[in-house]
Amino acid sequence: MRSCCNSARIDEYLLDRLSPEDKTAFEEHYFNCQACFQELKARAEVVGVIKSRGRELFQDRDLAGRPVVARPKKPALKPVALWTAAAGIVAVVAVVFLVTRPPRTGPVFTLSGDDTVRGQAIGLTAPRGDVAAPPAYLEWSPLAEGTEYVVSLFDEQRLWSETTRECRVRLPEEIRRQMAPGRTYAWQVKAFSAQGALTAMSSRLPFRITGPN
Amino acid sequence: MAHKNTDDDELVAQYRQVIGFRVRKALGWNVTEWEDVVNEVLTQVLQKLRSGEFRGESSLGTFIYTVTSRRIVDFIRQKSRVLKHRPEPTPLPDPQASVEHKEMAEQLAGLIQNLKPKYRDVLELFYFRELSREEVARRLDITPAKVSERLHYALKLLKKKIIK
Repeated sequence: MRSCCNSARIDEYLLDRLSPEDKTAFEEHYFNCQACFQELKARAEVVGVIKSRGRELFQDRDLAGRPVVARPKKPALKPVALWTAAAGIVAVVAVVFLVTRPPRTGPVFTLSGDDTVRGQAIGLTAPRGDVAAPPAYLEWSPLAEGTEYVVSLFDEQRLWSETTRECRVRLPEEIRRQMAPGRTYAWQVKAFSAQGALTAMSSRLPFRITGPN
Repeated sequence: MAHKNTDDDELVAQYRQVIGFRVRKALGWNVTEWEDVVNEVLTQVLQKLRSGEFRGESSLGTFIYTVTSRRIVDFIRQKSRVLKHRPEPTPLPDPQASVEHKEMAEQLAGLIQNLKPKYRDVLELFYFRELSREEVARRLDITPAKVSERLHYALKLLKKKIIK
């Protein structure tokens, strides 16, 4: 019995990349389709092993160090004069680049350990540090138009999460009521392109509730 | 549409696994109460079928999915009230969860290590480092279609071990 689902969709579900609507639709589907469920289950076992033992399984390799884009092969050794001319051109290009480059919007970040550079961080605006009461909104600096943000709130684990295309989101009243004075929480924003690829991720920014909720 | 008692065993056998998967995916694979939640869902489903609450307006699978989702939300609400320090939920099966799982995880890990480098590359970058297909393609200097092809082949080899 063959799965009727695109394998990419199953992967996206397992890697938590589906939108809430697509996730619900896919879950409802696999409750109705035994072939897709069996495919999902088998794939989840494999991905579970890769996720939990990846460091050990891939430790002898240096994929993270590989260039993102293939580079042309190095030219054969040239005479000294040619090298000097090439160095001059590089220096001019470097100066032009430094003078004209756009301002950086944030540091690069890593996803797992110290080896996967994926883009720039999202600047989280508020809340941060000590706040008098559970915040009504979470706000961050916007990225490119069409970006979808997944915002998550944590204490010991994820308390709440929401997907939006705005650069602020209202914290539901039900969640605010659960937030206790004196406790520290953290929040994080992940950005996804229109194609669903993770393009940026903030660090978990902590804040502490000092007053009553 | 009243439900016959004789159908109960068949229904439980058919849906226990899928309900269990959905419950653990939502609550985390380390949550020990997942079996209780599954049993509660099955009990609720059988009660609703007997009482005629399921009228066949949707498929049975969709009906059971709805009951499961509601029970998961209730469970999370109850937990949020009771527990202050909960473990971080794991979104994927925990290979250490049972002896059976451990053995299979060992076998899978061995198979992965023995795969050709081109297959291990795509597994590492796509599933472990969570790059998109396009990013994996750029990094390995191959086309996204080739990434999908290699993923498909690698998984086909590995899944044989699970399905066997």
